[in-house]
Amino acid sequence: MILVTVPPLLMLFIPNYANIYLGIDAWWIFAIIFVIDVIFAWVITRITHLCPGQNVVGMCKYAFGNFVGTAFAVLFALLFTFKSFMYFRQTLEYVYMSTYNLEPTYYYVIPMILLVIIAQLFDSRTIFRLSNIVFGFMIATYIVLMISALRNFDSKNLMPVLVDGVGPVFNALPHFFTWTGNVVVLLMYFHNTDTKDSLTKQVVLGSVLAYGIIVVLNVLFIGVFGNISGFFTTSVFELSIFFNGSTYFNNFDSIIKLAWIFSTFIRDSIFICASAEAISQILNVKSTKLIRITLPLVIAILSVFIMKNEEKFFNVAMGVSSVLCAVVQYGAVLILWITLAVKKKSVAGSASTSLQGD
Amino acid sequence: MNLCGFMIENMQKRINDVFEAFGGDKLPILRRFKVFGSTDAALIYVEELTDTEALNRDVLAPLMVDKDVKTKDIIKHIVDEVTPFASAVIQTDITQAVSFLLEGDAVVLVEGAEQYFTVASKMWSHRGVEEPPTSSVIRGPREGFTEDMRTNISLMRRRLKTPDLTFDMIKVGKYSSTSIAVTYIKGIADESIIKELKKRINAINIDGILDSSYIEAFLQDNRKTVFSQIGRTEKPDIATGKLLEGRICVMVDGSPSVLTLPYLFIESFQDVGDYYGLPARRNILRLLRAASFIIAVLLPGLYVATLLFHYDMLPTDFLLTIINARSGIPMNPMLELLVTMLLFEILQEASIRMPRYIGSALSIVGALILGETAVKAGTISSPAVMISAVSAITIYNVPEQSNIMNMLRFVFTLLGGFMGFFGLIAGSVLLALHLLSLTSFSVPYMAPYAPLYENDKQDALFIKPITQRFMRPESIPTNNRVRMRHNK
Repeated sequence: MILVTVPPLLMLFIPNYANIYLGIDAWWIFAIIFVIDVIFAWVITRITHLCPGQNVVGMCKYAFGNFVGTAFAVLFALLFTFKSFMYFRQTLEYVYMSTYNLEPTYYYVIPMILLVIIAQLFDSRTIFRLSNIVFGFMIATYIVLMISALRNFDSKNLMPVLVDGVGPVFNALPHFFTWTGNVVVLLMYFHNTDTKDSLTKQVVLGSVLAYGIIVVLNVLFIGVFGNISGFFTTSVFELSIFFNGSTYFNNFDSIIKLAWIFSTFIRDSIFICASAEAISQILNVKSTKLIRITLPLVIAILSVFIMKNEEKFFNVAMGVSSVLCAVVQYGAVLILWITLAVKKKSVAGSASTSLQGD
Repeated sequence: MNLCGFMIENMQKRINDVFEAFGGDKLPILRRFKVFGSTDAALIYVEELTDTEALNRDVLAPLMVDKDVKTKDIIKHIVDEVTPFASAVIQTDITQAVSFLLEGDAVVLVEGAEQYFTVASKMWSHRGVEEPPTSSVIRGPREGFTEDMRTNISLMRRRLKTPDLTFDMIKVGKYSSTSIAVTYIKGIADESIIKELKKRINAINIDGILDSSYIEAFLQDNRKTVFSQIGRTEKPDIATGKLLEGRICVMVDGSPSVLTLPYLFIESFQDVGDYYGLPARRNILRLLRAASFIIAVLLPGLYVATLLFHYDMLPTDFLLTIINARSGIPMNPMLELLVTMLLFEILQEASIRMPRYIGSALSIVGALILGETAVKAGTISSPAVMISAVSAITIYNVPEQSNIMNMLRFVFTLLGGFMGFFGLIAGSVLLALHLLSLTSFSVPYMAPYAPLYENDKQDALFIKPITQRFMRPESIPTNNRVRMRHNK
C-alpha cells in the first residue's frame, strides 16, 4: 500500500512546489522527508506493538484516559479528514490534467466522486487489497520513469549542489508536511491487517523503498531538466515523455498518467475510510457506512466550491495546513508513543512488584 | 383368522403399500415365487434400473430349490448362507423400500418374516469414460467424469488409495432424490468448511437437481455476482489434485461436472496441462491466459477510447491507416464496434444451435461473406472487424470466465466510448473492488495476491516444478500443511 500510494502523491505536483523554493536543490527536501518519514514509520509500528489490537482511537484512550484520550483521538480524526480533503482536491486537479479531453469538468468530477463513494461501500480490507492488485503495474511505471530519465540524465544539471547552504532547505521543509507522514493512517488499520507478523519490517521496508523511489526520481528529474524543471506542473511525471513505445505509441505518458489515478483513488479512499471510522468510534456510532458515504460527498463539495482556486489551494497546502499536519502527525504521534511506552513500563513494573510481594 | 392367514396378508399388505407409492403404476415388476419349495416370497424390482440376469442367477435360482430348511430367521439364513449377492442387506423399514427400488436395488419379501432384504442389482446404460471435450490435453490422463456417480467414485478411488478419502452422501431434490457426494480427504480438508458445505447442501429445498450447476448456485458465498465462487472440473486427476491441496469436491449424480471449492480467481488461468508439461513453457502460457483476460475485456474499449479521445497517442501513419479504413463509415467507432461484436455474438449463438449438417456452411456464410460484404459496403470498417474478432477469440483462452469476459467487453466498450481512458480506469477500479470483496467459503477470492500468501505463489500465476512444491496452499484452510518432505 505504501509503495502504491506514497510515490505518486509526492511526485505529481510537489516537486514543482519544491522547485519554487529551492530550484535545482529541490530534491534535498525529499531526501530529508525520506529520513523523517522512515523513522516515523518505525515509530508507528512500535506504537502498534505497545497497544496491540487497538486502532488509534483506542490507543489514545488507553494512553491518556477517556477525556484527554478522546480529545487526542479527535485530533487524529481531524488530521485524517483534513488530509482526505486536501488529497481529494489534488486528485481532482490531477484527473483534470490527465483527462484534458473531457469537458465540461463535471464529466470527470462526478464519476470520480461516485467512484470514491462506491469504494466506501466495501470494507477497508478490500480497499487495501486493491494496492496488491496494482502493485506490479505501479512498480512498472516507476521503472519506466527511471529508464526514461537515465537515457537523458546529465549530472551537471544538479550542480552546484546547495550553493546557498542547507539553510534554505530547512526553511522550505515546514511547507511540505501536508503531503508527508501518510503512514500515520495505518494507526487506524494495523489491528486489522492481513499480515500481523513482521509488520515492522514490512512497513519500514515499504517506506524506505517508497521514499527512496521518490528521492531517486526527483534527482533524475532535475538531472534531466535542470533549471527548467520548475516549469512542469506534473513534475517527475514528465519523464515519461521520453518513453518511446517502439513507435507504436506516442504520448505514452497519457496511459501512465491515467493509470496513476488508481493510486490516488486508493489513497483518498483509505483516508476517507480512516476518517469515517475514527469519527464513528469517537461518536460511538455503530454503523460507519452512513459517515463513509456522506463524507466523500462533503469533501467533494468543499473541494469543488471552496478550494476551486488553485492558488488558494497552494497557499493553504503550503501554509497553515502544513504546520497543523506536522503538529499532529509528528508531534501527537511522538507524544502518544512516549506515553504508551512509559505506561507499559509502569504496568510491567507494578506487575513484577506485586509478584515479588507475593 | 389363523396365524398363517395373518402373515400372508402382512406380506401382501407390504406389496400393496409399495405399489401404492408408485400410484398403482406397473413400474416395479413383481415376481412371486416359493423359497425352498414351500414359503411364499416376492421379488420386486424396476426393470430399467436393474440387472435382471444377476437377479435370476443370484437370487431366484438359489432360492427356488426344494430344500428342507429349519431356521428361526429365514431372512438371515438367506442373506448369510444362500444368496451369493455381495451386497445383500437386511432391512426393517418397509417405507424405505420405494427409495431402494428407485436406486436400482431389488427388494425381496418373504412370508412370515418381518424383515426383508435388498440386493444392489443396479444396472443401467450410461456413457463410457472418455476425454471431456472442454479439457483435452496433449500429455496426461484423458479420463473424464461421467453422469454415473459410481463410475466417478471409482475414478477417484483408483487415484487415491487411502481410507481417508471420504464420500459423504446427501440426497437432495423432492422428486429427483439426487445423490450428492461431499468428497474430501480426512485430515487434510478443513472441518469447518465441510460442516458449512453440508449445511448449505442440506438447506436446499428444491423439486429436482439435474446438474451440478443447480447446486453451484446454492453454494456461492455471494449470489449477486456473475463471478462464480465455485470451481468445476470434468477430470478426475484435477479433482484429485484439488483434494490433495485441501479442497473439497462435490459430485452430483447425473452430472459429469464435479464442483471444487474453495475456488480462487487465479484458478481460471490454470489449465489441466499445466501440471504435466515443462514448467517454463506452462508459465508462459499462464501469463498468456492472464494477458488474454485483459486483452479480451479491454481491447475493444481501448480501441474506441483511443479513436474518440486519445487519437494523439497513435503514430501518424497508424492513425492515417485507421482513418482511411473508417472513411465513409456512417457510425461512430463505439457504435460500430458494438454492432460488430453483437454480430459475432449472434453468429456464435446460432452456430451452437443450428443443425450440424448446415452448420459449417452457414458459419462460412456468416463469418466470411457477411463480414467481407459489410466491410466492402462501407457499413463497418476492417479495424472494427479485426478488433472484435481478436477479442472474441481471446475470450476462449480463459474458458472458465468466457461468459463473463463476453459481457465485460461490452461494458468496457461503452465506458471507453463515453469517457475515454478515464472510463476504462474507473471500470477497472470497480471491477477490481468487486473481485476483492468476494470470498469462497470465507477464503478471499483474489488470494494469493490479495491478500498476499508468499508460499502460494508456487502455483498461482506461475507454477514451480513439482520438486519445489513442498507445502499445501496457505490460502486454503487445512490442518496438514506439509505435502512433501525434502529428499535426504
